[in-house]
Amino acid sequence: MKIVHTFGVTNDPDEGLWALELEGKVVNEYQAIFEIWRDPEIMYEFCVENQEDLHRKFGYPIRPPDAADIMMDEADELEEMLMNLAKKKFPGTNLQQLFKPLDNNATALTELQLSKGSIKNKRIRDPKLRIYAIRIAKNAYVFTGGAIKLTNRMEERPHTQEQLVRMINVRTWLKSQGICYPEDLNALS
Amino acid sequence: MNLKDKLKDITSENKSTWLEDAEKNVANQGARKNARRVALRVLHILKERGMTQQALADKMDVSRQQVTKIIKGKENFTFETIDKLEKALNITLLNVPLDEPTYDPSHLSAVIPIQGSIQVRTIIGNSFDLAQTFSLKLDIGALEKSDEFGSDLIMGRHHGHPTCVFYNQLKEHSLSTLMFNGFLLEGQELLKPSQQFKIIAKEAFERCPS
Repeated sequence: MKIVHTFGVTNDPDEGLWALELEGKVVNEYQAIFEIWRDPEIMYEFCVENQEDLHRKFGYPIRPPDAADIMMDEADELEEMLMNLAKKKFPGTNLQQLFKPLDNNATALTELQLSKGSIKNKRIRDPKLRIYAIRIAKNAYVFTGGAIKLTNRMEERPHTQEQLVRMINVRTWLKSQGICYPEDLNALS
Repeated sequence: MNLKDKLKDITSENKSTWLEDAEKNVANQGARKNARRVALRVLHILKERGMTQQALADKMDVSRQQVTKIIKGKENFTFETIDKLEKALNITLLNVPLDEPTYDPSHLSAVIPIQGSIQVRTIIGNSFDLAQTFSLKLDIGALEKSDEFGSDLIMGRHHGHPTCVFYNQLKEHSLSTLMFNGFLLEGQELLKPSQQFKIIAKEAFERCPS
């Protein structure tokens, strides 16, 4: 397991996004998830296989191609937002505003915190896509993957459960590599 | 060893090309979206008809690889390929208007049917007056997505194109600026049968039967 620097100031470990690079895989996990979300065939099949969850999440019976189309739009917006963050298009915006603690009840920023991100705006009021990362410093994250989250809890479906397990494994690995932020994150944020 | 050095130790030599990729993707968003929609439509038709990708390739008289490109949203279509696809599946993908449609309120002929209870408002001068509530059916398949929307909308057809405008915007504009052809609508999440929609109705709008 390695990480690859994705964006941010390379010589400043306090700010940036690194992506997980798994052995034997051609692309890192950041690129991998967006490739999946850009693939109509994969997205369509997912929607066929998860129709009941989609109906529940959307609140009405939605056809697989329509659900796939909406979620692929969401992926495009998410990618554009990350691109804008990387290029610092809007001053004052940073990764910390995108990634929130995975635990909705968490009130403090903790070391190697499991984090989640999604896009929410006027067009996307109930996001279905999640990106996952481990917070390694004030405004720095290791991107571990992403998923279409249609249930309340990640444990409820295998594809989200897999992401949860991966995050926990990556956190353990980072710890074993001595990655821990030396200062109080809450004081810094 | 500080965090920077520790990160160096576990950082791969590979360079991520995501930013260049993302820039390309964003620049090509319009083309990608159209290719993706064709892909989703084809995938759904194949599934519904129990047709294989090979069968489609045979019918179109193209290679299986070209069909793969189509369903992966990677085909940069030529008119010829579109024509082959339309004929093979007996569908319409492209219908090019001869002219750019322009706004003319007299052409606002019908409310797009909507399901659920609708509050219809009529326009009296510059104010809005609640008229009545009745049920309509909505053909959401005819609508597309918007860049801007509020919670309420009006809908109509103009030269046969679905047109919809949001009530939030209506309040800030004169009637003449309200109607857009093919105004895009994120609508599907808005258009729940139980949801209430305010329709700004002009006389030209036709009521649909309950």
